[in-house]
Amino acid sequence: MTDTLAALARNKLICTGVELNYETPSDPNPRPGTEAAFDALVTQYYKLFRESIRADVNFLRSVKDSQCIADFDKAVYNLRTAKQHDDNSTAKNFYAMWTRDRPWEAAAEAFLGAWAKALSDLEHVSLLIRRDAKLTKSWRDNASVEPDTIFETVRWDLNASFSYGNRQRMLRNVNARRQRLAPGDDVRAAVEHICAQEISAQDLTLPMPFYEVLDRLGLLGKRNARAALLVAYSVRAATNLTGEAFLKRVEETWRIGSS
Amino acid sequence: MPEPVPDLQGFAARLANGPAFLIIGQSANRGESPAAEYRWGGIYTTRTDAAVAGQFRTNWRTVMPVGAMSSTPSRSQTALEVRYLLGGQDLPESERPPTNPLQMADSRMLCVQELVRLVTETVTPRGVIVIEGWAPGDDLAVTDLVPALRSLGPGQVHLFSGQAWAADPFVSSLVSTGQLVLHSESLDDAVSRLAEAGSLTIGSPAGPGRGSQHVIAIGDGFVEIDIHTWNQIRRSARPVDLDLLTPPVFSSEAARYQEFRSFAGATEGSPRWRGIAAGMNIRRDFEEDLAERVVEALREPDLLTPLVLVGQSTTGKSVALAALAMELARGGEWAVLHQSRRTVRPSLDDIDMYATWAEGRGAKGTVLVWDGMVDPDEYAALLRQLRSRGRKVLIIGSGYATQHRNFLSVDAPAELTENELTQLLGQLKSFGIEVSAPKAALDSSFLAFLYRTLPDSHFNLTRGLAHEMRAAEKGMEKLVRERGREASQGERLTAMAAALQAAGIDLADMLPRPTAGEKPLIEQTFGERSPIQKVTALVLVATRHGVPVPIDLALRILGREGSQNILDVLNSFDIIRDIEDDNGEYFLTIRSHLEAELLARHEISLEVEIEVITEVIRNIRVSESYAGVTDEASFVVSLLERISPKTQDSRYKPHYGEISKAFADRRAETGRLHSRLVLQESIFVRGFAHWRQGRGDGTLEERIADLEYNRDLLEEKLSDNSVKGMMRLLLMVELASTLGAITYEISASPQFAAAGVGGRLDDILKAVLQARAIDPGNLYPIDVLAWSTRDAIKTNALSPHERLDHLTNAVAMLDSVDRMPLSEAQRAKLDGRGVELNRLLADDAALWANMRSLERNADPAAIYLLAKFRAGDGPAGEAHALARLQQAPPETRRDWRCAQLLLELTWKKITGQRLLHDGRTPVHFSQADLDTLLGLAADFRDTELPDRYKVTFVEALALFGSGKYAEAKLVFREVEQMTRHLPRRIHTQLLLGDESGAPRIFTGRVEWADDRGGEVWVDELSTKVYFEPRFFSASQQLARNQPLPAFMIGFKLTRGPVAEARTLYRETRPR
Repeated sequence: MTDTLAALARNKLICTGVELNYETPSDPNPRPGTEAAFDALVTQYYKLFRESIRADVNFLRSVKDSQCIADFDKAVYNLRTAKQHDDNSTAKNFYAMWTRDRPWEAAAEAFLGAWAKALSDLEHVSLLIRRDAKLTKSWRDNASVEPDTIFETVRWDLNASFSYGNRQRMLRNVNARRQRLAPGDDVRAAVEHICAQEISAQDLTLPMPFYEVLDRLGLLGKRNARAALLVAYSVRAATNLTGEAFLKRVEETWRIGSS
Repeated sequence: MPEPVPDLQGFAARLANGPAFLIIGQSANRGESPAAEYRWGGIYTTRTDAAVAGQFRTNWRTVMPVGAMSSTPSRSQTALEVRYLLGGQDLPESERPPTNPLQMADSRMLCVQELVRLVTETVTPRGVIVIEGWAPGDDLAVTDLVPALRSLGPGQVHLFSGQAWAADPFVSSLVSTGQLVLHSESLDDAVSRLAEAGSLTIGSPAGPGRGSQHVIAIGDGFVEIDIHTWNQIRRSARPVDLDLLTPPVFSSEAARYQEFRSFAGATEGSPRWRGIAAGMNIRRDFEEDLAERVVEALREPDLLTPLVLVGQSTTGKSVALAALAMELARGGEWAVLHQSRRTVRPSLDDIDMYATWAEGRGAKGTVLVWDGMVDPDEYAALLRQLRSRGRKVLIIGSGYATQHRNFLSVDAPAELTENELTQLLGQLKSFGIEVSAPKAALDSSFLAFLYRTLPDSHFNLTRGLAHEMRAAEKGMEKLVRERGREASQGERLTAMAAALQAAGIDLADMLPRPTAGEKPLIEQTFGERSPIQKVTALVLVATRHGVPVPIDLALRILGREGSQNILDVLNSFDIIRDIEDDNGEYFLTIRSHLEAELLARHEISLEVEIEVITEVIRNIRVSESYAGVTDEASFVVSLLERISPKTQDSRYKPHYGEISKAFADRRAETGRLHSRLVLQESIFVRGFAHWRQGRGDGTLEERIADLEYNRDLLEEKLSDNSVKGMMRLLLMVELASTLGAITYEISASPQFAAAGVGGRLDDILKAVLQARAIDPGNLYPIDVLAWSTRDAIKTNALSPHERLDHLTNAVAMLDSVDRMPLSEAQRAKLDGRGVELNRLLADDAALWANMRSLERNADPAAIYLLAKFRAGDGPAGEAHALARLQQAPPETRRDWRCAQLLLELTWKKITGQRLLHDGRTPVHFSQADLDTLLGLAADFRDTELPDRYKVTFVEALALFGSGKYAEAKLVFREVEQMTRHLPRRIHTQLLLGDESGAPRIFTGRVEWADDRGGEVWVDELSTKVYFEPRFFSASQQLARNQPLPAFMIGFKLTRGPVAEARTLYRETRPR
């Protein structure tokens, strides 16, 4: 099971340049003996399927959907909703049907079986995409607006590298702050700012995209990129300059500071 | 949010800048250590316990503990060396810690030598030495360590946990010069803080559960490459893994532009995979053709010729090959390897290992993309060897255009087509660079020129700071208009120089200029040049031939201040680059071959070039034993190949004597005969003699004496039994060539010819027989024998009998060649030689006048020749020829020429087919046939046959047919050893048949079987034979004692008898 998920992740990496962001299920062969344990299992897979990899699932389904994927989507949605919302009778009926006349372990087995089939179909679609240049480009375009992708681009521009755990922690912060954006905000630009702030440990907002500062200094992706960005944040903190005047001041400060 | 760590940023920058080496003292932390997770290039320690090495072992890195000065240091981060400066308790006896005062003195001396080597060579100008756990009282005294560190540059040493040394006068002096940076904190703390801040990567970048770092696509899934397989194959080629296939993502146009510029300015021999993955490359039209040829080649299971992409430099071959490798790897059907380092020859064993590994994991086979610009024969030789081991491999190489091609090829033309120009202009336009469409095709060197015109940032580009391109365009258009595909490399260089000048780029600014009052560089000898100009001269000489310089060699040639000079050049001149391979080896190179050639014309005279080459020869470090480090001998071989007699470039020929003398001097100085260097020396001595002969330079005696000396040298090396395999073969072929050259010289002088041309031909024959015993498929020595014989015959210095003897030797040798695996061009060449020799035979009236008397005397040459001619007259002639040979006296029959023909004709009489010529044909043997064959094998036991394996195979087959299975097994094993270089040896040669000519069908049960092979007990023969489960069961699950579906028995040169599924006969029979 994990291998299929890993293969899907690798196909995404080859096609888009970005990792599939997911937590590997902790126990590949769970045997829940109670209702609570079964519900926890469903929640774990709900988060994986409908939250962590949702954007990619949607894209893959837009390329080629399958009954297995639809069935699992329905199952995981209803099984979780039944426990989260009292007013959804469809979900409650589904839950009752799923768990009726069989032990929790068997219900979990059926659930994981449906997951395995859905995952296998998703992985198969991802393989088709990997072998087709046009579909590969579509996936790349689709993924380019994900926070993970934006974080990766900012990380590269700032020449930073993080351990897996550290990166996940920062991404969680980015996602949390993204949820708080106001309607009408340019989401991509805002997420870029947030990523740059997270990586530089700053909370000021620059008057322009961070990469314009770095490009002006010829430091995009260079070792000194973060140091230069810190200079830009300092100028921002000390002045109200914007536009060309801001860039010129940053340029002057950097020249003096790095000489 | 991570905390910034400004105080440690300098250290992080140092680590990022080059290889890092850690010296661990006795006070170092022995527990879990974040610093141990860093990707060090080498560890040095004064501790002696095995735990030090253990601390660095991970799933992404192997660790090899070694003693001080026990081997040449490697800088590999994935095969890390832990060097015990004062001996290691778990090392071999000679490398253990000292136990008495004398040993202590020796140990201390080795420790200091190792530290000096670390500082002067291993660390490289960009590297850093980090010290941790070294405290007063350590066995490494401050008076030993600090002086060794003095030749390093500023900030090249970082001492952690160093508070105790703050007041030490030695340490303080290094601190005051800026060479040593003292940190009071521990290295573990520093590494942890930097990693947390994102300034340093430690450990594997893959997340938990994501597995290994090296993953390739195979079939519909992915396979992880374990670290041991990775480390071995990386010596020879780079697997095209996920890391290379992953495209970059860009935040902005500025970032995309930067990638484009980096891609356009990428260093040759070091593909910019990111750029290709991001689609920055112009897909040239020939790539379509190349891809189609590859698909065709991959469909052909028995293909024995490489596919070579040929063209001049800067025609996009390297990018096309890297893009092809990525495309194939992305598909996942084939495991793909790529090698572009011009000094590395992929090793047979490494590729064989990887191909076996990949096939075992579901790959259909392996594609090796070897962008080596080497002689296509090298690709073919490696392919032949891999095929002979049963590996399904395709080799795709690169090379210069040649007229004679005995390989599959695709041309990379120098002019850009309309389609290619449209792509290029579209690409430029996407960055806002407007270039008007040229009116005609452009030369592809425009792509190399492009980088010089691109500003270093998108901001500068938008300000319109791009250099003027139009003038360059015009010049290159003109070149194509006037010369088309005929434009020579020289004309392309001239156009490039003009383009640069028109764009305002001065060649002289690209490299350090001479100081005021100095002679122009072109007039200065290598010795007269300033240290910084020596660096550029050395790099230019090698890179103009497409070969990067190993940095250790450069440092040795440049001496004590070389490190700083190299750094100065690297920091000041973008055109000179240092490149690192995954093994941690560093090379100096020029961005592109074309630019190197341009600059070399500007700065390097031919005399200086030769001076540099001879200096290189004198300074290379040659390792006799295995060393996982840069092979400097390979570097010098690669460099010399570009100017060797095999190339068309005649400029260097007058200097071959100086080059061979440098080898001889080195040999005299070191007292060692290194096989590869002896081979090079001989090639240049021979080339020099040939050049001198052409010019009438020197006397015949002098030239012959030089060649004779060469012959002695080769024979001395060949007398060393440790020289084996391919190297022995190359030396043997070179010996044959040297003898051929002597014959050629002698043939030109009647008095010399009379004195001993016949004896020379005997010597050549002996060398050829020995070469063929190693590789029966190698044609080169046979050709030497053929043309030497022709030249010797034409001297008229030989008697008719001698002429007959030597001509029949050459003809019989040509006849012995198995023509099936040869290309058409190779066949045509051999046939051409055969026609020449047969004409000499036919036109020699005196020879024929003696023939009858010689026949009466059972002269082997005469018997052979008459039988051979008769055998050409159809079945009746063959029968007559066989009778003639059978009636000859035993000693005549045992002559190798007669024996070869007798074996062939006997086999044909029994089977109706040529020996080892038709695959999977049923053959029936009566007991009388088997006795005849065994008799022949016994008769020829002492005959020196060129294809000894044939008679040995016949003997083994006859023993098997006679029911002597144990004896047959031993003899088949000999056949296996004799045919290791034959590509067709994995094929089934024939099947046991019944009297009607149909294959015999056998039954049996499985003795054992696994995924790859098994043995079946054959009921009808009461013996067991090998079989391949995949031909009998789709699941390949066969249990012990399970009856095997009825089968046939075939014979292979590799395994002897094998059980074969009946379907194989039906499938292959119609062919």
